[in-house]
Amino acid sequence: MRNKCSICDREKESGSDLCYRHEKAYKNLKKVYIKWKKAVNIDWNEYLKEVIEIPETGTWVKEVALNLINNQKTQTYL
Amino acid sequence: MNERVLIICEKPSSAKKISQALDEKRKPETCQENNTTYYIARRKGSELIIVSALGHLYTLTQSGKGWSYPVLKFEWVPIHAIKPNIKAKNCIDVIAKLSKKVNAYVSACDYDIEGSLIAYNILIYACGAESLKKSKRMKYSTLMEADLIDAWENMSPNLDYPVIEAGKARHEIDWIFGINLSRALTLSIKNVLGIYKTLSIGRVQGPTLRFIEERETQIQTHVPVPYWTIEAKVEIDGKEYRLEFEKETIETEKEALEIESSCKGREGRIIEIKKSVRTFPPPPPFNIGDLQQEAFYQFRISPKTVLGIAEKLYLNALISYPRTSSQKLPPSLNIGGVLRELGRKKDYYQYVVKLLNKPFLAPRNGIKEDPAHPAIYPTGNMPQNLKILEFKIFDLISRRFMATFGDSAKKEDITAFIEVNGYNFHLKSSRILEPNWIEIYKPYFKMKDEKLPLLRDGQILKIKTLKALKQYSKPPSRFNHGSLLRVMEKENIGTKATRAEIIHTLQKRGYLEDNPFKITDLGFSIVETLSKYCPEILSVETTRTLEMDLENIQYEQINSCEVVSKAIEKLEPILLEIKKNERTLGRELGETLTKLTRKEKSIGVCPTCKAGEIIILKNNRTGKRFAGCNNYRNGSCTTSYPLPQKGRIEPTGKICPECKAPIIKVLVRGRKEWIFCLNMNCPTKRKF
Repeated sequence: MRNKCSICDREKESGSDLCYRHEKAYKNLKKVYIKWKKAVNIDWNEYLKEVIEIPETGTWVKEVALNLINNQKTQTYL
Repeated sequence: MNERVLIICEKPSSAKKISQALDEKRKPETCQENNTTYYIARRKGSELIIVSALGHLYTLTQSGKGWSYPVLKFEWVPIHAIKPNIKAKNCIDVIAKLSKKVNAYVSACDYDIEGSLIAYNILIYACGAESLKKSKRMKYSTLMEADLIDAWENMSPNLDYPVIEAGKARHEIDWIFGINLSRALTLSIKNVLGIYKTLSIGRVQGPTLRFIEERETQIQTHVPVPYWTIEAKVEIDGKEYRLEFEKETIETEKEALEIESSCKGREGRIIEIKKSVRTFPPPPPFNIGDLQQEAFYQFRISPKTVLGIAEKLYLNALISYPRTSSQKLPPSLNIGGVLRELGRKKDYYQYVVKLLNKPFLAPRNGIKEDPAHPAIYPTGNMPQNLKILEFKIFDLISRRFMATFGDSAKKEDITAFIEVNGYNFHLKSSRILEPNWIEIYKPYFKMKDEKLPLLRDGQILKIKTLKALKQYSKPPSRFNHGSLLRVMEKENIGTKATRAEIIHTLQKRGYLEDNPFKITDLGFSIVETLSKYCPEILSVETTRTLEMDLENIQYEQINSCEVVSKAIEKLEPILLEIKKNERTLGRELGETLTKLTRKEKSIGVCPTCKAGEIIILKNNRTGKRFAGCNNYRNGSCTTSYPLPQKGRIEPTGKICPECKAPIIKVLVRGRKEWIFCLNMNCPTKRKF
């Protein structure tokens, strides 16, 4: 079984497909989505696309968002 | 001649100053032996031989041989025994020879743990243990003649042993932690991958690097949250003023747009005007941390440079001893005298006159104290031939000193409350009513001074512009020299004298880059690996406890041997844990190092096979470097290019538009950078 993060080459966290850095970024993405939903009533896919475009977004968050968009795993969090 | 005394100073310049101050005729004899200068002064029938160290002349080294860990046995040896240092050797030889001619000894090194330890080591190892019984201690905070004579006449009858013990313990603990952890990391990679790369971490470096790693993680995992602000301007008497909405931020777009549509194009009415006066007391005089932070904020100078400059100013007797934590001026200080001397400088004259006219001169001291030295203050000596940066620091210290005697400044705040279609806005202004100390410190004090026209209750104002502006929350800022020093000070890790050096070491090791600081991949890897296998090294708590114990040695609340033993007890299980996980640790760190080396060697994509990478290689026979495709290993591509043999090569990430070969940058110290494509036969080079 592949033990590497699905975004980078780092070792993945137990119970996750991502490494420590990307897992943390992913958790933040999920947490902040609630605030975005309240602020602009946006759906998850649009949210990911917008987040990628903002210069203040952290690099690891952008990598996670891009990965989610590319892998079409986004419906889970709608 | 009733006594011959050997006076040990820390640096040659302080030895000269001390000899001049103590010689009754102010003309000490200058002697030279083995390229080492010393002075002979005469005072009240005694002959004083003033010698100087060159900082630390003794250092710690491992007892016995071998390059492994744990290393827990050590000894103090002359620094030239570790690394050739002819100056230090000559210095020790001269001091040892002179010590045989004297019957008393005085430690006149800087009054702090380093200074006390420097003199102690010279006494015990160069002059012999017997000298300790005949040794006294001179304590002074400036190199002014009067202070030095006072220090001579009121010497402590013994050496300051608690301070010496604290210094010894600090050096020993730092040495034990540093050597063992660095060897553990280096050997973990060497034993697993066979690569030799020196990696180091210390007991203060670890937590400091952790702060930077945590901040970088916050930045890289930051998800911006949208919010809205209402940006509005009002016109009064033909001039525009910014209005503030009652709420700093609005959480939803719906609400923001609602406010915008309700207020746009409307008129505002002043419903209330509030005035208040605030007082700003002067700042306390500088301690070294405050000076380093302020100098970084004002001039962008690194703390290490500031410390170096401050020490130079001290050695020129322009300021008091800078390595102090105190924010208090000494009650014994002749304030009037210092101010009068400062007043000789044209720029300060007007402020000095005002201060001296005050009925009572009292500084606004801060809270922090230092048992050894007061806050930094100018001695009153006028600077001559200072370099620009040195003068800036001198000016900063002098103005701050004068400002502390100033009266509190007074500032008036006016807020007009404006109602626009049911929503509240504020129109704010503030102006300095009485600048007082601000006037003295003005070049270094920035405060907005905004005036509003005369306003009255019920006045109708025209809203010129109003819009809801979408913004995003920002990640925290990266640490810079000033903010990192502040955090280290707040968390009580490192000392006032070592913090700047620790930051510099982290940069030198390649764990940090740029300013503000960005942690490098290697730095990240060190923190992540250590936090998995030995988190104690990165723990602020472990370091802080040790710092407190070290401090308590000075106050004789704890024994130095006990503190060193406790530190070893803490370190041993950490080293065992590293040993246990050596393979994994070495593999993880090794992976990062391999990636970094590959990245450093890589220049770009091979233009011939388009699959390989052009990397920097070395010819085994000639030892010369060249660039070649890494597919040469499997024999599929033999592309190669010559490289300049001198200078640092950096890829530019660009390719030549003509021949498609990678473009590189060659950096040679003192020369302009050289940018060119690797292909010597490229058409772009025909003109040469």
